[in-house]
Amino acid sequence: MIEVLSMPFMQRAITGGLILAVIAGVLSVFIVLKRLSFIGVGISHTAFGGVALGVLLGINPYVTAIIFALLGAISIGSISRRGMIHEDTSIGILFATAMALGVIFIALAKNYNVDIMGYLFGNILSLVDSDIYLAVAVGVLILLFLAIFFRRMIFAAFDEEVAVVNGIPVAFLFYMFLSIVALTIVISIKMVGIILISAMLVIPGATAYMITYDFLLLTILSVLFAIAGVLLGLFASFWFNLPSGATIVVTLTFLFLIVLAVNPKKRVIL
Amino acid sequence: MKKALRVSGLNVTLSGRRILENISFDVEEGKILGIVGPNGGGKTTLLKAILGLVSYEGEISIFGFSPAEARKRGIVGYLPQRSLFDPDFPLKAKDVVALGMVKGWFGKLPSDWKERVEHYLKLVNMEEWKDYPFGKLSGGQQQRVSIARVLAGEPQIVFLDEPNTGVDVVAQEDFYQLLTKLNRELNLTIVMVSHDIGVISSYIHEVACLNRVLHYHGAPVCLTQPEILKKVYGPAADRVLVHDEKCENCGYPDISGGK
Repeated sequence: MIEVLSMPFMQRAITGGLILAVIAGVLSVFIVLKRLSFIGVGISHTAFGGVALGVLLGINPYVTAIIFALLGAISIGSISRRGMIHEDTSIGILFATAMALGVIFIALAKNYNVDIMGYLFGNILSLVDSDIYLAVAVGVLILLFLAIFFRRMIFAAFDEEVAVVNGIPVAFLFYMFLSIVALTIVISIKMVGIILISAMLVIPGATAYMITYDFLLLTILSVLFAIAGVLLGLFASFWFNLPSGATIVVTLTFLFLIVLAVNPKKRVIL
Repeated sequence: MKKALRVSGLNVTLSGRRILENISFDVEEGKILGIVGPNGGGKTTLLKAILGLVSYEGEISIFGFSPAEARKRGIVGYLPQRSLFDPDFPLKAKDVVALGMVKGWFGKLPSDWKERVEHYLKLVNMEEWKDYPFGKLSGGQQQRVSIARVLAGEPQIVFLDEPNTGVDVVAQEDFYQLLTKLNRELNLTIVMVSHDIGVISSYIHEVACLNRVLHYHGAPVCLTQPEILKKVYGPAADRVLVHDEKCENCGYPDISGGK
């Protein structure tokens, strides 16, 4: 065990994973409360189009992924707020189109030698130092934003109309939140991949939601579940030689099922 | 006396349909205005327009400010029509009341926020329920906690949309007495949409009878004048008046079976 922990790639994996767990744990609370799970799926798949465009143009795929994810977040958000068409319909169209564009871009990039599977499913054991620095920088910004607006975001999730009357900048918070989700998705591409990140943005919050009525405790529990999922999943990946993104998501689902079976909210009010 | 609310030449059109037409009225500070009218008559839309939640033409001024400015300054309180809350939402009654004090972009909670939460929960008789999940309370209890939330923001004017939906008769009576008390003690201006027009008539200073256009605005005596109610409610007017013990010789048949 100690041997494993002394390996630099494992240390980077644990550090990166813990940063992602803290961010995803907090974000997933709001995703569950505001029922935005499908929006997370939409944004993450949109990012794939960006990755592929980067590969085609020969520039850093992260840059194009961030642009695509942010554009996806803002388009989905504005369609959702204006109620032009149903939100699920717009997400269904947008993410399939972005994936299709991604496939076309990759087909056009004839001499690419990029591991597309790595972007889709991630490999946390392949993190390098610069990935960690990027995750720390983005993570600090995100947590700072959430710390400032935490109560206001709870208010907007609970009763949006009254929040507006109280002068809370509900629309600004909504778009900022979606942009934060987009940034989180991009920094997590290498760790769990585009396909699996949406699970990390939903399961920890959904698990904690079944335990408590106290929103602070809910947030703390959500982060703890995310950390447990990342650490246990990571070790499972190492020991059983399985893809880390998948073992992390399966571990999170396992924790979710245990809590679902115990159903604590029906027993005691926390 | 100072004008708390001034509405002038207000028109609202939603999805191509004119909902409100040329509405003008004033409310003086410290008054209670009841807005009555049939379903679909535009009562809720009127409140939303005053609060700047739907787009409108015309002029609206709340203590001299536009709706957006009034919201920014935190001088308005709003209780929307009761909606169904997720019973598992992670907020307790005390948290909901505290939200009423969260205002603007960066406004901080007042240092005595915990005492204020206790105070307002006590005022609406819900202090025993402070640690109970809000979503698990009964409809009437949720409504009282929501009133406490509105009051905790210490607004100068409050807008209440059908505050008694789903509340039993005894609780309704208590609720109106509470409103009267707050109005007197805090000089709080109250604008309230209601359908139980017979009951509210004894608690309000003025009434506005609304059905797309404003048919009457003035003392609640209109509720005893069949011709005005007929204009607002049409032939169904006979059936809209809920009589109470203070309602005598109102000119309407008692359809409650002499209760």
